[in-house]
Amino acid sequence: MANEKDELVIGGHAFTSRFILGSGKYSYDLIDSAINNAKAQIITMALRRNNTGKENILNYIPEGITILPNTSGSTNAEEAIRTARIARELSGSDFVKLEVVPDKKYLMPDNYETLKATEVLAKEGFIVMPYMLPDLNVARQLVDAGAATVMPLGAPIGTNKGLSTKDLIQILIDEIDVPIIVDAGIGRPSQAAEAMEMGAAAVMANTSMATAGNIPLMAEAFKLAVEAGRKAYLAKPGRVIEHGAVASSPLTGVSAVK
Amino acid sequence: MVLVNGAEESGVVGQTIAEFLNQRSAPIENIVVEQNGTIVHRADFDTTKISENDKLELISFVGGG
Repeated sequence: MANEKDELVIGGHAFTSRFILGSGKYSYDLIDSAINNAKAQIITMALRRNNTGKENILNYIPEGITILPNTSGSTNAEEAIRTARIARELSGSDFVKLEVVPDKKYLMPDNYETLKATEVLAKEGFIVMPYMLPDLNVARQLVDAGAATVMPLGAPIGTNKGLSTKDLIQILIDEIDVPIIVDAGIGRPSQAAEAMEMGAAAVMANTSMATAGNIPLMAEAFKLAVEAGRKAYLAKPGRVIEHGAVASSPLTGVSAVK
Repeated sequence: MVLVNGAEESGVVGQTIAEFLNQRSAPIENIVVEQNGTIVHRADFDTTKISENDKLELISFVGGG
């Protein structure tokens, strides 16, 4: 997964940034500064009916940024496959963030429909990045079906609650050979850093930026957190002592009054 | 009658997809057109005509996470 430059490799494409930025729910005017401050190389977008013909988000995306279309709005495999094909027509690239979400209350992905869509899309040459509820068996099946990454949720979409599924994500990180990208729920840079320390290959965030008081500044904070977490992971964090303490200063040679 | 994004629209039968999009000032580089469930490739916009009872879907990238 990690090469000499510690690049993130997805479907044969290498990225130096491990922070994937969403573009939803904030002004297009801020996309450019958010991307620059985040040093993001991948930005997600959704597909919707165009009834106005007016504003074009593509005008706000800097050169060289990889567009990662999502299939949001899809409630089953068939809809997601259709959306992915439309996305490829538009983006000219094979990347797709596969989201199949029939549940309206918690926006829980349907792992079974996601797996069905992954099988079809991977055969059509898509670089499939499925969003899923973290489950080791499903993650293995997704990889067998041709998924390029696995994107487990940290918490329900848009909640900023953080790593509610931490232990389940750790299992995926430990057992799955494709990049594990934590997607959804990450609300604070500290949570992004924690995911990266755990060994996540990348973190994706949107709402945490969109609902921040200063979007570009929060994007920068996330960039730093993701980098810090990655470096900590590579540095191999030190052990934890559950009881007692271990002095970090020498125990001998202490000067005494008497 | 033609359905465009689910809404009835008149006066477009016989137009090419290119003419139709031009009339709406639609940003061509950010539009995918589905005609009766089949994607019309951009290279075919000039030669593909809209017929009676067509169902057109016009889809664009928008902000999303």
